[in-house]
Amino acid sequence: MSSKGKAPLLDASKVNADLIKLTYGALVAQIVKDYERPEDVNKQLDKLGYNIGVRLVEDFIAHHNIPRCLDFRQTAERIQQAFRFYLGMQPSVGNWSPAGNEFSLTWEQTNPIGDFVEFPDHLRPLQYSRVLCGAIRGGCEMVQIDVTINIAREFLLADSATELRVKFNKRLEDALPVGED
Amino acid sequence: MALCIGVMGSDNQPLLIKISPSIQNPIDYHYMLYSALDIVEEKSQISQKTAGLNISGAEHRDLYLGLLYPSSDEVKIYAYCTNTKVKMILIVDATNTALKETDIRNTVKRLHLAYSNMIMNPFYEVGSPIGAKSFHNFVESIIAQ
Repeated sequence: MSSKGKAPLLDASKVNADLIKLTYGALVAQIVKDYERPEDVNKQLDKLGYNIGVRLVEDFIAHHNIPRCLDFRQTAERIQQAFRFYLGMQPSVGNWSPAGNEFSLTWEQTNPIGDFVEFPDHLRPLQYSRVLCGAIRGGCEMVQIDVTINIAREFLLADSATELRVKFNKRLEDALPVGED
Repeated sequence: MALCIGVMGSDNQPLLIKISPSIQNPIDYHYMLYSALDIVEEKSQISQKTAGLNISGAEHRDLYLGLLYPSSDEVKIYAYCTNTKVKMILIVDATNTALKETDIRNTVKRLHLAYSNMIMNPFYEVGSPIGAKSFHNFVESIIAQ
């Protein structure tokens, strides 16, 4: 087991990080079995993350009493804060594009949701961290921000860090729910 | 340091067998590994009996089984059996006097740790042959040490 897994659970309401990683790993392995093609699996993971994101953002805002973001930099800060709150592993925000519409979330030397994961060769196109992208996309969409996220670097594929590139597309001005005029 | 390392699953199925590239007759080492399994079984049964009637039967026994038997002049065989009945067998050169018992003990302990890390990989199916490159590299590094 990892060194982190050895500490006893002092706070009963918190779940051990290893449990999350193992659960997510088992889930991914099952989806791989069901869909076979890595591209389809990525799509499923993204959808999964999206569904987590749209719910989590509500909880996040309710708990933290957060005002509206005035610019994209504030949004980045909030996303960072949300990762600290829910995953306990804070990414660094940086690598801003000159126009300020694109930034990177980076976890150096780690992947927040997977230790010990080694891909068999036929699963190299699998994007293990896709669920995080989906969650950010879902969360932002609920607060009328349309973003695109790419995985720039993946620690599990022998990169030095896990890096998600978040790009601002547009504000969703008139995104009214279906059926409301 | 080792000539051969074998990792066997709970049903004695081979999970990984690595033999030093300097060996001329690898098939002999396969024989040695499989015959060692019988002794491992015997040894772990004895230690279960002495451990009394506690539920697991294996609670107090040392996972490290030590030197299996005073074997030939050429090799020494050491074994380690986890509580999940995964066996790790180490065959070393008997003429290498620099090798201490504590080194062997530490090595198999590290091997066990590496195994438990490897098993955390969600794409590995428990009980199937080990394909993970990191584990292969680790075992090779022990052999080459």
